[in-house]
Amino acid sequence: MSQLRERTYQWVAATLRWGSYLSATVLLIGVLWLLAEGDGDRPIQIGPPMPLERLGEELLRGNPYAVMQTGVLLLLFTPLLRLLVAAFAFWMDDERRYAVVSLAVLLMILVSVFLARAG
Amino acid sequence: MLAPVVILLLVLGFFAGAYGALVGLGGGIILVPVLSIWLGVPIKTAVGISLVCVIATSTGAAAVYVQRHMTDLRLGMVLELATVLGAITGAAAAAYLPDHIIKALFAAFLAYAALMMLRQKPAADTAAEAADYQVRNYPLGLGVSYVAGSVSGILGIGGGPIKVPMMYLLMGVPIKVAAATSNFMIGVTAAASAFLYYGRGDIIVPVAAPLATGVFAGALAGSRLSARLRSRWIRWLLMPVLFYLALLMLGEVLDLPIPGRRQP
Repeated sequence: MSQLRERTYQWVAATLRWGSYLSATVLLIGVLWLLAEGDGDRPIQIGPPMPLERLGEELLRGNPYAVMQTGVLLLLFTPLLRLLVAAFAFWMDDERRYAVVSLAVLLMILVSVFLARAG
Repeated sequence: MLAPVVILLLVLGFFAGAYGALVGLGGGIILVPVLSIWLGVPIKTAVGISLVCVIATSTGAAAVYVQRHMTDLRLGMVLELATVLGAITGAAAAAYLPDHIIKALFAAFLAYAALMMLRQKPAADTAAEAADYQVRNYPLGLGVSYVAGSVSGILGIGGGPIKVPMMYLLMGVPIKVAAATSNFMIGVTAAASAFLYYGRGDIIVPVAAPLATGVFAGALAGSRLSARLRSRWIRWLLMPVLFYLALLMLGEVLDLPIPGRRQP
């Protein structure tokens, strides 16, 4: 089998690297913020994550729980972005079959999330 | 009351991440029992939180392996079709499985992982070997990958102890490539089930966030340390820990008294 182009490795590695830098930074900011607030008047939010509709609003209000949740979501979305980037890189390499495989994996995940929300 | 718990979670994540990087196991196999036995986290929530940490371990390491061309991207993508399908069915099934069944499965997996450590030989592939190999047995590989994905979705672990021997022994992939490719697949596989746990409200952000932050830092420290430490000794240290955790999980299933145990 032919060697993949160097840039395919570069793109996939860069997506993973920057995804982990970004989510680790946001997570760290959220955790430090929570620690800095200490036992203030904010109630401890142990429970399911807040709905996405409220996340933006809570971020603007400076809620460290919202910052941490954004970090978790960035981490969860990094592998999905990696599938998209890999599909694109395979396509550019004329490895159409593998581009379709990457997109199929991504589609499976999206469909399962959609079905779980609907059900 | 908040600060000590957050700091405890950061430290716990750090150790799980460092240990994971040192012995090539994701932190999940340690985090799930610790969260469930000593921190009183319900097992399904512990699994959801662990999946977040597993993605953290995998993503950072995968970037390095891909950069060094140690990952077989094509093989990883194809096997992901099966692991992701398994992860989705596993995570969906976990919602209906009683807690004691999940704990019993976890105890069995811990014992299996400990035994695999006992058998593991140091990787001895030469560079030439690693570059030139023919992947065989795709159908069997896809079948085992499906099982590995389901196990990951039910137990909140990466499933390396299933996938690495499978690629190495059944598919003719050199051990280092197998380890890098397995790690590469873990991120997507764990994300597939993590989204379902997230949707069910089983990922508690103030627990998952400090843990994952600790895991990131620990994995970084562990990979630096691994160059200087003899991994054989670490392996021998970890094995009794895994057996001990297996016994404790079994004790939970049988409702035996466990020192320091906290009920959910």
